[in-house]
Amino acid sequence: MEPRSTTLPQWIAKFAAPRTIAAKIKRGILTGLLALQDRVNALVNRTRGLPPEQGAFATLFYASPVAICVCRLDDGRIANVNDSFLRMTGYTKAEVSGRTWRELGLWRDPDDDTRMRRALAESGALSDIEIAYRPKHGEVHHALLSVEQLDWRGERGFLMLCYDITERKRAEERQRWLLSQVRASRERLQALSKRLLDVQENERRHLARELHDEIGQTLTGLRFVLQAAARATTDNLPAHLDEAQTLVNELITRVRNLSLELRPAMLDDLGLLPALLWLIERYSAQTQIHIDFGHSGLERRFPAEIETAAYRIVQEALTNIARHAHEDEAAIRLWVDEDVLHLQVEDWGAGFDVNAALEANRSSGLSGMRERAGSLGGRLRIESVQGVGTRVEGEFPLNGKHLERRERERNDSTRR
Amino acid sequence: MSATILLVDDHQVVRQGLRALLKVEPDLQVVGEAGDGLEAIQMVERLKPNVLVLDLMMPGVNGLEVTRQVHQRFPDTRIIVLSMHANEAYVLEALRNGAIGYVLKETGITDLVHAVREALAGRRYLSPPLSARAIDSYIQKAQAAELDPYETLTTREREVLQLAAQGLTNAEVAARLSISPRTAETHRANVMHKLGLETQIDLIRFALKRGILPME
Ligand SMILES: Nc1ncnc2c1ncn2[C@@H]1O[C@H](COP(=O)(O)OP(=O)(O)OP(=O)(O)O)[C@@H](O)[C@H]1O
Ligand SMILES: [Mg+2]
Repeated sequence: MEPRSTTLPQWIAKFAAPRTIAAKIKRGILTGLLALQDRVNALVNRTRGLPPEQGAFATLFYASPVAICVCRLDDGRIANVNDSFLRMTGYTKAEVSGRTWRELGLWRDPDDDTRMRRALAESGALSDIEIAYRPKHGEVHHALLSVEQLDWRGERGFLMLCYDITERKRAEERQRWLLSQVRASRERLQALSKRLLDVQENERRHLARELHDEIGQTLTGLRFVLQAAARATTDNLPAHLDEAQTLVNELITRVRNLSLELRPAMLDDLGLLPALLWLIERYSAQTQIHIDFGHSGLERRFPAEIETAAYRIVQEALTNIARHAHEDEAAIRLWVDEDVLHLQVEDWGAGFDVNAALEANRSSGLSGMRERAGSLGGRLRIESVQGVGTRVEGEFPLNGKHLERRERERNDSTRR
Repeated sequence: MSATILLVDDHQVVRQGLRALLKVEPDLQVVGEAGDGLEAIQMVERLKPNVLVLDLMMPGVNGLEVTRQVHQRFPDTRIIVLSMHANEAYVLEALRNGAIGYVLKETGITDLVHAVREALAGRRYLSPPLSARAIDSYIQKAQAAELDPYETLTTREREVLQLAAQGLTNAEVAARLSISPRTAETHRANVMHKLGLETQIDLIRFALKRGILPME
């Protein structure tokens, strides 16, 4: 047998710049194995029949934390494995001896087997390919696999080193997932605050226009009328004053509507129910959409921020129905049940793809409703089926307890 | 002897206007003015006026609250609320709190003298277009209703109800809806609780009655 060259083969040189601790360990073992191989070969040559797994090589082989499996080159049958391999796969030595990886179902992707054999045939070695394997019990695991041809008891064979990276992969995946969550919520936040600014700007524009065009114009008109009245004769004075009065009444109505649009005083003065009744009446008159409103337990005051949130959510849901549902009937339900205020707004109109609308991140209505409920420890669900209709369900905890937490506690107590 | 009146409004111009309006009536005498709710209560206590003419919207203690307190502590003082809100909800709240008159600032201020005389006679007065009938119909509208318990089910709970009524176990329901069996169990318990049902038979019967299960 030719003495083995002292320079490291190419595939070991690859390990010289290890990327991972696993690679470092492997490098140590492989270097040791190779250094020993010459001596083993010599030993085998000298004392034919003596098992090679003896002495220093055997120690290294059996004690290695890396799973090692030796197979015959021609048929891929397993000739020997170490304890780490058995631990990793969950098989006993008897179960694996003389079988192939394929037979044992170790490959999750049998193509990997073909890939490995081809690489072996081409370059005699292969390092650090990522594979998925199926242990005897349990789920698929991931490992880094390095393979090298070697002579084994005088036969051509190959040595497979497997390093399990399932945990690491899981941790990486989790980290990736967390990162994506953080990134997504940051994006949502940015989009939302940008939209809030837009909304604010639009409202200001609306207010400015209303003040200038409507109220300002009426006031100017009033000034002219009063100027005329000052110059008027006693005879036609009453006519001028009548006209002035009409303008003043108009102004009062305008100002009041404007202030109601911004925030109905009723919500603060009288509470949620009167404010909703007012909203619904006005809405129906303006849109010709008939609302079936049912409620129970609302003859009381709720925390101001919950009244505001519930009011705004119903308002937005109604606006959406008028704008998008193409339907002239809708139903609103509000009720109190065990310290939770529930609300439902339902229509039987056009419906839409909720996830697509939320992901599009283009509008502020739906996400605003969600934010409002979420910020009060409540919840908002939007369900919609195209051609069938839309349902908005909101829940607000009245005892300050976060709904999710409340549920967890309840589940815990029933489990006990 | 003329009747005594206390005027309360946070705007001085309004008080001046009201005073001018009442001045021409020899049998009505404005004995004081207050600019906010707290001051109003103190002055009622001191002056015991026959009539309190009170602005509804004031910063701090608002008119509704003043009405409630004054009516409770000085039931002899008749309260007339002045308001810009023609909304029945406000009228109702004011009346419930003990007001006897409700006068709209915008259209009815000239009615104030009439309202005061009615109050002194112990009769209710509402500025047109307000009316007892409108208030009744508001009360009707605001009435709480016994909600159909099925309507109080969430969409998820409705799905669980439908599957459970078809005889699916919690585990099967869970698999069908891609939720955990634990969650399916909670949903089912909530459904039973909300609908007041106790047994699986009740559940099927309910589902049949509501047409959730097609009858064979
Ligand atoms: N009740 C509904 N019926 C049908 N489609 C709806 C309904 N509610 C919402 N949508 C769809 O979802 C989209 C998002 O709704 P959202 O309220 O967020 O935005 P918007 O109403 O378009 O704008 P805005 O930001 O002014 O509310 C709508 O553009 C519409 O296509
Ligand atoms: Mg909208």
